[in-house]
Amino acid sequence: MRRERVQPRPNWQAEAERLGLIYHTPNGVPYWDESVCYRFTSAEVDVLEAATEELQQLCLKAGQFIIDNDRFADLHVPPAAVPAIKEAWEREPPSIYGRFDLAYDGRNPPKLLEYNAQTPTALLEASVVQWYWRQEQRPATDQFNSIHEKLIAKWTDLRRYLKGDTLYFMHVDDMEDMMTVSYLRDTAGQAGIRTSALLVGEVGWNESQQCFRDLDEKTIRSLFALYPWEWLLGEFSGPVLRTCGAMDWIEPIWKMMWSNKGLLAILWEMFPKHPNLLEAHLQRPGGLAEYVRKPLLSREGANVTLHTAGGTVETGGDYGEEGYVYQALAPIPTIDGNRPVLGSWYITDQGPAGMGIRESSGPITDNLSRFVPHYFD
Amino acid sequence: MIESGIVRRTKELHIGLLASIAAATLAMAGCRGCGTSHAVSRRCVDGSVTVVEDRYCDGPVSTSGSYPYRWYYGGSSSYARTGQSVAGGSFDKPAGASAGSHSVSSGSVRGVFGGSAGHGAGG
Repeated sequence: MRRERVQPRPNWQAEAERLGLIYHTPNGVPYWDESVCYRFTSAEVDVLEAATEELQQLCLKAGQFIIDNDRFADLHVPPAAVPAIKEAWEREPPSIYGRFDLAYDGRNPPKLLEYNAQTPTALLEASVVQWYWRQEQRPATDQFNSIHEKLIAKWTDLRRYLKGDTLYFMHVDDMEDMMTVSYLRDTAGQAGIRTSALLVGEVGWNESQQCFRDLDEKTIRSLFALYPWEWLLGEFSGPVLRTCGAMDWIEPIWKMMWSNKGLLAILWEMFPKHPNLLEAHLQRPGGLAEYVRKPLLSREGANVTLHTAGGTVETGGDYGEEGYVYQALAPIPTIDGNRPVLGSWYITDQGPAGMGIRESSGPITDNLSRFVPHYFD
Repeated sequence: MIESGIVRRTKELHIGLLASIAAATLAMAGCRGCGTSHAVSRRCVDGSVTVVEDRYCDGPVSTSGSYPYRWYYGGSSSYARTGQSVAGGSFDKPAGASAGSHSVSSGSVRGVFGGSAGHGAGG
């Protein structure tokens, strides 16, 4: 695993935009950064692929463990949601994807930092943009990336099980989220699924019919929500829970168990000293002298506290009321002053699918971290 | 192409819908609240930019005198509920955008979701 400097393509902005990455330089700060890239060996990619599959299997066991041992309170899951989670776990409604964020230095086993199993983004750049970058800049090499094909394969499998004739994609009024949803719609469309996009505020609730409706008052039976379950339940809990079995909610509600950072402590409790896990505890540091404190439900690095012998670093945000998980410091390598975190994608029933790399100058990966491409040979 | 167990991609990716939405969004650059490629949301607001029922704006619209109700386009209007303030949008309909269909329509209550989102919901 090496970091290499690369001459950016002279037309890289236009090329990124052509592929949908129209947010490559938000507020004048580059997000897509092709002035550098990461080079891996084939053996290193094999390690990452195997670790991703292993972590997925551990999470499946952890989900059953949480249900069997009624650990929902530890995850701050609302009690009203528990029956729906249990029902969905057994019924296995449609699920598409997740992204494991890993610390990896090319020598030691990859370590799980967290699992964004519910609303992962940075998908388009991992699946499409870096692939075209590789074709132009490293044509004789390869890339850990079959995300696009696996998404289409997953949608193809799913098509026959969808309850509605249209799969709606709900997202907030945000450029990155809109393009993420547009990309997912594109792949679903290539699998023969009719799709439509809705802003979250456009989804209507029909009280007399007890169903969600689109802008034309058509009943929504299949809905992909790029919107966290804790927000759905916090805003409109009763109707959401009542429709859990009657319509497809993608990702399914049981993903609340996986997208919660308390999962990290559950995993460590179940599989202590597992090579792909970091020591983690709920609500207390345990015996950790140096640790990262993460809110159970935060995203994009918000409200994360890094506690080391050298001092404490903390990010801002609005999370933390729900409690925290304390995780051992990850061995993220520092290369030329930059710290890469690997986002390894898992497509449900299709397996490990590829990775994207976010690089930070600081110790915490946040929404300002740059996406850098990779290849292997 | 190197033979390996990882890459199974041998041809160009097809991203027709994605590319067309990206192009349309770029073409509408400058339009606040362009949350979709087709339309911009709007809500009826009073003089304090607080959402009221659409019927107040359905009649002849005046922007002067004592009649304070006007359509507000984009920004947080896509998910604001009646009684909530809106921001980040405009009283002018964005050029090239269609509007009107995103308001509260009969039969269903809109805006039940969205209150938790300060910005993107992904991570």
